[in-house]
Amino acid sequence: MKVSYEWLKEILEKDLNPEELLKIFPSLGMGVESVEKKDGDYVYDLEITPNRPDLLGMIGIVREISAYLGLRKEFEFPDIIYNDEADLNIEIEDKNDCPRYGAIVIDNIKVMDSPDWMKERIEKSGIRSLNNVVDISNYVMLLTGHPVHIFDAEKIDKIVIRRGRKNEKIVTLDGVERDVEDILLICNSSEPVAIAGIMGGEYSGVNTKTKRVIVESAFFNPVLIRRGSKKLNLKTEASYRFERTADIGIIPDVLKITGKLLQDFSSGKVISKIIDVYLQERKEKFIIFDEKKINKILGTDYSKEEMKMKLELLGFKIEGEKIIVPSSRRDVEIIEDIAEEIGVLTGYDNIKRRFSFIFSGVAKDEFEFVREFKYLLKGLGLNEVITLSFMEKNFEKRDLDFHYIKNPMWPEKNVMRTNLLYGLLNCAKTNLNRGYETISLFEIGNVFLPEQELHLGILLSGNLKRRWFEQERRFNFYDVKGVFENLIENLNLECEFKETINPLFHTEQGLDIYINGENIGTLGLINQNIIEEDAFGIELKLLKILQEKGRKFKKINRFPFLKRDISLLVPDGLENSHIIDIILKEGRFIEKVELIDIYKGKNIPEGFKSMTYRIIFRKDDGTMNSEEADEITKKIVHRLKDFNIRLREM
Amino acid sequence: MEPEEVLSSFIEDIKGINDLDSLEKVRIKYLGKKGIIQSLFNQLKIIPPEQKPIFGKKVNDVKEEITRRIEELKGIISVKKIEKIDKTIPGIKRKKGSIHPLSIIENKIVKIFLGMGFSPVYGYEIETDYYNFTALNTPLEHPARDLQDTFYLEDGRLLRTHTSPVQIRTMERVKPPIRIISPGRAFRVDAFDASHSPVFHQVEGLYVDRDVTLGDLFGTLEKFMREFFGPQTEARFIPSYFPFTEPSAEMSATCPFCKGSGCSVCKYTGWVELGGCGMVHRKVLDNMGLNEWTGFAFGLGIDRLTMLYFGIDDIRLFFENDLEFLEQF
Repeated sequence: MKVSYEWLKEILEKDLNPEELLKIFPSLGMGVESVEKKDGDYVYDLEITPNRPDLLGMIGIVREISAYLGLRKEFEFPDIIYNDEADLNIEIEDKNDCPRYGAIVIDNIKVMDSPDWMKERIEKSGIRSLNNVVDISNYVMLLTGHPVHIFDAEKIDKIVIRRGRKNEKIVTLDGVERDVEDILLICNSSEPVAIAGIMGGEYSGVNTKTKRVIVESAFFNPVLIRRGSKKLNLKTEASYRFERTADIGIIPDVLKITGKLLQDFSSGKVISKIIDVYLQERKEKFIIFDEKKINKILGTDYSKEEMKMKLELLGFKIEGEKIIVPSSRRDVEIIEDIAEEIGVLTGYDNIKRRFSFIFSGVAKDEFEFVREFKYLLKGLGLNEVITLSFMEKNFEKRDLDFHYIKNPMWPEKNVMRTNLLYGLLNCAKTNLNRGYETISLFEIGNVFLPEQELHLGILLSGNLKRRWFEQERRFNFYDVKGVFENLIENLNLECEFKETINPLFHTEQGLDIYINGENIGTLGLINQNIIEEDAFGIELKLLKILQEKGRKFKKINRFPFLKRDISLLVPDGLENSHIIDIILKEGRFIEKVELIDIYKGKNIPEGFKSMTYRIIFRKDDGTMNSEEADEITKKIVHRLKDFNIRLREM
Repeated sequence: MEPEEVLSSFIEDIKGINDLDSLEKVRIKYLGKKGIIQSLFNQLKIIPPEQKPIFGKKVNDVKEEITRRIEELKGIISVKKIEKIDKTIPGIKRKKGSIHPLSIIENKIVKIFLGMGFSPVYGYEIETDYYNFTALNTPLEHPARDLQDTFYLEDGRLLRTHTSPVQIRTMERVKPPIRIISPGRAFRVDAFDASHSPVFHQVEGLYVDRDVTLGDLFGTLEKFMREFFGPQTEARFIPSYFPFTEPSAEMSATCPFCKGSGCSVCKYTGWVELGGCGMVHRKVLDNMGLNEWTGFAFGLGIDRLTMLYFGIDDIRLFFENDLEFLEQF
């Protein structure tokens, strides 16, 4: 809502600094979007919240400003002289659609330019000046907040307010033919002449030849107007106000002032009385004046007298224990609304602020866990990213139950993400394109499968930079597996791996991760049909890990351990886990087997590699002696021979 | 050998020694079980009784002197063994990791409220119309729906336009008193430019108890702002409108950059807006069967608070994830 300083001051009848207004508006809940200086005037662009249609007109705004200043200011509508030569037949089909419809007939109209001051005022409010008749209707709307419509009386034999019939159409003022089935219409005896509360029809519009007009001021069901406006995709100043609920009480006054202006500025003559069809009279709305309750809501100790004064300034009437709500304030319904009025007018700054919490909150595991996890990942050298939740459907190779977005932000990203790798890969690409060599990223966020699940995604791509203590090299499978194992070890968890079946990953270098028999994610090389660059990723169901967290304490074994290292010549193709399984078959005194070296090259025959294992022996009920360890080692070596694995001659 | 001779021969022996092994050999030669000092003590048996105390003392002195010198030399040798290095070469280290600034601020906010007795809970990003609007006193056809352009799913559900559905889900589940805080993602059809994003982050707060007042709300948020931005921070509340709170307010804090004197960040107002708040609307409470209870609720913009905290001027930087940006945190 654009408000001219000069116009506001005229209605307010009080001198007020334009700077001061900049403070007053917000403290009354009207945000100032911008201020424009125009021809010595200031134009404030105010943000009016949808609950306050009374502030979509100058007199409503002035009412608030004057109340703020401690003045009571109610706009006085002029009286006009009526004549009742003309009458108008008004028929309302359903009083729920239109509980009140008022009209006035004016003859001898001269359509011409409006006076300059009026032109300026409406143009400052962002409405184009057309001619005196149209301008007056807009001027009245800006003044009162209530839209009026003016018909060429030639075209109207009677007024019927009804819904549009099947296949019914109307050409609106903007020249567009519109299908108006079931939409609320103003019609004459044969056809629609306007879409109620939204836009007039071309046929019944005022033109330069117009001599006699009918002025309409009505109340339409706000839901119908909103629905109609949506359906037609047609938003107007009128529909904006009607869908926020019009002031049913102001209807005759609006007709009076429109008639007066048409008399004064288009040489018109009022030839009817105010025709007012009021089918569903507004019941007086009141709220019990419970000052204790009001103080309890606000946390204040204002006196009843003080409250009464504030409410009266705003146009409320106090009758005994009742607060009578004026028809302009359709937003006020309950005592909390009254409390807000008093809170606002006495100033939110004057409300005593209290802080009385003495208890401490309980951090749910999820919060602590995710927080710790992020710091753990940071410590592993990963950078956290946050990506949007929208995904290209084609990215996901699995046949999943997707959530399709009806009105996506970007047409190609029309499903909710089913994994975090999509966003991570995009981040990796962006950063690689910008010349970064080392990409190691993670994200923790919700994906939809189709239920919401908290996931962790990790992505490594590019080079490990050359540094003085290590060679430059590409990231490989073991880097990403290592990150995962680091996490698992930090959480004291154990897991198993299986060949992956997730098509986002390469089968040759991908593993599905299982904890307690449940697949909790996948790690490995991202499939080359997704990204050409070598990229290694992890996609993990994070909360599954949270549930598993916390392995029980194991008693400490105080007996000493013995270690034996064995270097083996292993034929290519035999896997580490297999060899460890063979070694572990040799009994219960083996506490741990670790691969500590892999070597291929000089002194190693073709088709073999050297793998060195460290075996830790320990008993839990006594000291392991050297001979026992050597004996078991011998047995292990013997067993390995069956698999064509030989002890390497050192 | 006389004790004096033993000492001078020892001094001769340790000349030029610069490794521990050789030193050990010398030690054994003099101080070992069959060493020279021991043989001197053995001589005590055969010397005249009147000379015994003097001789004994001399041998002891020599023994002490030799022990002292060996220890001293040991220290010198071990120090010498450590090579001189270039201490300006960087250490052996991992690449630096980082936490996203939005996470840092989310943690900071939640921790402050944790200390005030609010417990974190999590909500759903995909919601029904009921939880996102209707139960929050925003029925279908309500003009307030225009304030939040919504992403709809094909199945009729929607992407929550705010974290407020958590209020309803909590009140359905938990008996008051309720004190919860819920960080999360929200979605609105919006431009993607320096100050708007279709995906953004909020922290929802809800307190339901007996006799909660607007003063409690303002006091709590003022306390939060001071803990977040510093004790000098002033809180300001201006009237606003949300369908699910009444009375409602918009909260602002003194601009952390200019301390209220006006700068480009606060558009020369001295204040920065942080989010909306209000007393939980009577209708919302009544619908939840909480007719006897009162409460307040608020929503803080995490993206906004993060931009203010670190002085970031473009919201898109959060989602672009450029490493140069990320590694600053």
